[in-house]
Amino acid sequence: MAARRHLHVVDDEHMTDEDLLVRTARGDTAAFEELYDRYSARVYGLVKRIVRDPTLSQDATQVVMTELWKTAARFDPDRGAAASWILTLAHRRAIDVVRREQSSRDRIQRAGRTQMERPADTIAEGVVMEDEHAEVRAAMHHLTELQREAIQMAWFDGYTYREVAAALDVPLGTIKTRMRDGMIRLRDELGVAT
Amino acid sequence: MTSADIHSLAGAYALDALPADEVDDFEAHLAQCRACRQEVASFEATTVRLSELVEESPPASMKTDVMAMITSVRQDPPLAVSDHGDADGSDADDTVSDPTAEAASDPTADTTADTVTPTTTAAPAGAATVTGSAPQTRDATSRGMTLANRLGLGLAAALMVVAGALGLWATSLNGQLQERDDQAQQVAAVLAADGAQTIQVDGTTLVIAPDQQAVLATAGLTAPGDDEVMQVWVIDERGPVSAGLFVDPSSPKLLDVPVTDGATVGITIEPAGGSEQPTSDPIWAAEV
Repeated sequence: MAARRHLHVVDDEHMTDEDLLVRTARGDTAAFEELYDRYSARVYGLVKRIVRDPTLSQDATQVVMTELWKTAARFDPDRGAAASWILTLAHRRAIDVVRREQSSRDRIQRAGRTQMERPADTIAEGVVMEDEHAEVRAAMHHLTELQREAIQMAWFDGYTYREVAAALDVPLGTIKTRMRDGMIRLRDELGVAT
Repeated sequence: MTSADIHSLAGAYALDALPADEVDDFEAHLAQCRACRQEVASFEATTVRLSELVEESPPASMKTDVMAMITSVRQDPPLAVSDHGDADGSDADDTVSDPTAEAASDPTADTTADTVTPTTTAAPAGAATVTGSAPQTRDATSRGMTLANRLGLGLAAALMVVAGALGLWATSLNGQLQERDDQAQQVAAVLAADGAQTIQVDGTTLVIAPDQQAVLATAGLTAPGDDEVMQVWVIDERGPVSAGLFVDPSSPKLLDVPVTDGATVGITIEPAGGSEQPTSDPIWAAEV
């Protein structure tokens, strides 16, 4: 029995994210713990990047992780990757917090300030310096400045495309198009499988 | 808006950057545009890579808290395709406008939050009376509420904090919010499913995923009067089964029951609240 239990632990470490989520749905706390270890930094980092306040970000991250446990049964591995599922949940929860926090007008003003205070390519320059992220940073650098700003402000600041357009003083249609062609370029450069 | 224009929203949609009032239109478009569905899925996989750039480990204590928290959180049951099949009239009513309620959809979310104010304000009192809960759990709760109050967060956000800290997923309020999210995710999943079948009749589109979950998006169909409602039916050899009310035709409707091969999906006009069985001829129907 001891050997079997040991094997089980090894299995958790080598299991795909999708397997872990499916096991979590069956109440497997060891599988959930492994998922936590794999994703808590990405979830917390993303939530905190958007929400900013550390305490509020921690609370929101706990909500996301608990919700992951609760709703794991709704994940269908045939429909997409676990990573997309988990980070979409995290992003939407973070946005729930910030979009209720301030009126749209406030946020547009803040977007403008943020843009002026912060070099446009902070993210691309690398908040995290590990080499493993070099590929993503390089791909961000290959975007045009407007593509990069639009994508950063949407994904990392949680702004709507209308707010991004207002902050950058660029027509709405241009921002929509830049978000899309920027994402196409990023996707292709990173070789993301579809 | 021309179709070329709406197609360009795929990037903003995948980045969660569409305002709430544009999400519905785009999801209706998604129902009819396989290219957009594939593009959105590929963009979502790309945002996963982007998120690597901001990785930051949470405090180590959070893991202990979360692992303790989940022991008091009941997990959702497996999502069988017949999950909504046992929905009676009143359940169907709840689900009507939900499929379109995207997670970040402010107006609809705020409406819900407003209707549940008493529950929310009662939460801290309830928390204080919880016996035998770990001290850090209570601390986390009061901290969450205080923080939420200080920041003037909306009710839903405050509730989220409280519910997260306490694991109070069973509260009806949070259940509602949760269900809306789940519905939106299910609609998106159906629309993005590989091998989904799309049937279009008279500008109304039915999308059926391989697991038989289905989404209906209409252009032009509405219920004629205030005391009438559109009701969706799935008709197979056993006869018609209600697939729920279609109250807000401007948004895609996730059918409450699976659509099997060879079934017919139809829409009838029924008295407000819906009927057990169809009481009129269908205004729209499609054979699968």
